[in-house]
Amino acid sequence: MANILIVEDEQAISDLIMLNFTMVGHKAYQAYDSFAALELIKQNQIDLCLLDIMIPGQDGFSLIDNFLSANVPVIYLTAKGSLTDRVRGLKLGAEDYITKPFETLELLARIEVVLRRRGKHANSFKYKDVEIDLAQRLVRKNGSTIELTAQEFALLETLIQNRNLALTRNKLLETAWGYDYMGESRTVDMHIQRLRRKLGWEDVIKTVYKYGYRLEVTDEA
Amino acid sequence: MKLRIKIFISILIVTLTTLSISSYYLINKSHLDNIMREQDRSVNEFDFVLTSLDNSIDFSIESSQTLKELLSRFAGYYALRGIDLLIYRKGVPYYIGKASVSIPVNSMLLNTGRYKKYAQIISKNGCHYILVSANPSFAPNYTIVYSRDISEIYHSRTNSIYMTVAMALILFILLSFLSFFYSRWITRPIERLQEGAAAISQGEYGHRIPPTNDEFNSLAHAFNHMADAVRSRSEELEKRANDLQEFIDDLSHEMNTPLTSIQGYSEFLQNTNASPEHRQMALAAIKQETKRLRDIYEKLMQLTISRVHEASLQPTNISVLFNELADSFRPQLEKQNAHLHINNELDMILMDSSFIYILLSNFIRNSLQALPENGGSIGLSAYMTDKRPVIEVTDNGYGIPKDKIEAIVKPFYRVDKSRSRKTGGVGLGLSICKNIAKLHKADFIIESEEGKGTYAKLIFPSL
Repeated sequence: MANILIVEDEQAISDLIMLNFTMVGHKAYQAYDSFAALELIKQNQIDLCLLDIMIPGQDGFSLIDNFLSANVPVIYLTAKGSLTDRVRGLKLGAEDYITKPFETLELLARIEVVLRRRGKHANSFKYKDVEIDLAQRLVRKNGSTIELTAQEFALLETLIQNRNLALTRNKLLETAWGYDYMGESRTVDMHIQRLRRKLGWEDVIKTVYKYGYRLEVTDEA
Repeated sequence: MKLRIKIFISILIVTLTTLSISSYYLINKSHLDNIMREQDRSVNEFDFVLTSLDNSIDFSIESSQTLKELLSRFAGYYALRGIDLLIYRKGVPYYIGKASVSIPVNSMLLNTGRYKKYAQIISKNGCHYILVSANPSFAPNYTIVYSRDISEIYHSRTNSIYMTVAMALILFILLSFLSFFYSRWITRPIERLQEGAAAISQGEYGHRIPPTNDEFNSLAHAFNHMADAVRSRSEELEKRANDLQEFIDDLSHEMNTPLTSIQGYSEFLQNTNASPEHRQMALAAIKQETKRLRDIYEKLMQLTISRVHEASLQPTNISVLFNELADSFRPQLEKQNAHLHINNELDMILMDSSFIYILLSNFIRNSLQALPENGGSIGLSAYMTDKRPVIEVTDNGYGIPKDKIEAIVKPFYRVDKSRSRKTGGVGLGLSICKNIAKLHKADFIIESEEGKGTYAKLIFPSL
């Protein structure tokens, strides 16, 4: 999907983000200081940069211009949570400002928003014989169209965006149905059953015991 | 009631009371004197009247008509001089004339007895008369009464009283003004003190009381002294609170980072069907970050212990201590290809060896972090300077930049963050060292030159 540069001096956190990105199909580049970061945007086509503020070398605030002039959108990911820092970061031109500690799913969702705004998000998803056109909201299996309700499609989209990550029923309700939907987790189960049947994905949408569901795609095309 | 008003009212009361009592006494005294004088005069005049009456009138005349005529002529002469003469015969009015005074029959005045004179003052219709009477020897059956109007004296007394009251009123007004300002002037320093105390209680610790040249000066001085103490104390408390807040902020940040990692990796393990390599990576990260938290915890414990405990000072053999240190750091020294040079000129130092062991370990660990990859060496030496034992750790590492040397004893401060994180430094080592040095009343000095190396010295108190 997208090429994302992670500029973060804490190796453990950088690796964590990288692992999660790899899971949902992004390609992650890691830089532990400002020099490596500048090198990496010169040599690679980067779609988005996750930038920490307190890093060795130039700090994140002074570094942002280099990314913006290379037309790379920037999301700050930092422990500096004060309002002044937040405002400063956004005024400098960052697309978003996320503070640590962060939740992986939230980070992924926010990245998705920025990528979509930039037209860099994936428009289609293909796994084995199923093809999904996310822009036109079309699903084909073996070339023939499969009819999905709007709700089923929203659920499918959430699963695809967070593929290989398990999502709790509540998280799915929250994302696919919306925050104010007062549904029960039974609703999720029913929709998952229907998706599995229609797409023939009984083995692809895995039930995670006592947790939720996971779209498991190991060798996506 | 305010002190100022108390002073004001007491001045008024004391002055006015004194004035009224003394005026009353003076007026009465002069009044009594006047009356005595009038009495003396009246008695003298009466004697004169009696003598002339004896000489001019014969009371043995049978004809009452003639006697009354004679008396009338005699009394008429005195009436012109303001003296009324009344004649009684055996207690009954015999001749009254135009006198406005009459005397009750049973009065002492009419029964004076032979040769005796009797004087009395009576008041009638707002007028006062002095009466003197006697039964003269030349006319034993008659009583001669002398009467004179002395209202004038009473009038003058009343006038004096009025005048005194008027004066008291004027004085009251004048005194009110004066004592009002006077009492204010007297209590001004107290008000200044009050204002000062109020200002300080409001947190204006800079408020000072201007000096005066009376007894209040020392009070003002003491007060200002107190204000100074309050200010420096509150500043100290504020600084301590700030330091503590900074420490807590830093600590929470230091703990937040590994916790974020641990949480994130465990979620990753829970949510994904990750490959075995990725699983290993996540587990290794969780383990490493947990160790980091553990390091922070241990250092915090050491910091707390070194802050609250008392050192139990025992003579300690320096060679033994140095050898223990060399043994414990040997693996790491070999790993970094570094040498430890020991140079001990001392035998024993009075110290708490477990604390000094922690301190020297921290010094050596810091030095190890600063060493270059090859050819690094650390010196551990003990010697005497100015009769004070010194333990010194030197290295030929990167050194500390001049602008950062002040900050290195601050909790969680690290000169090179990314480097020390790899080696597991928490940034509390020198804070602990500072406390340990303090427990031993030892001086703790760090000198460094960038690019050449660092000297950390612990100078014990003289033996």
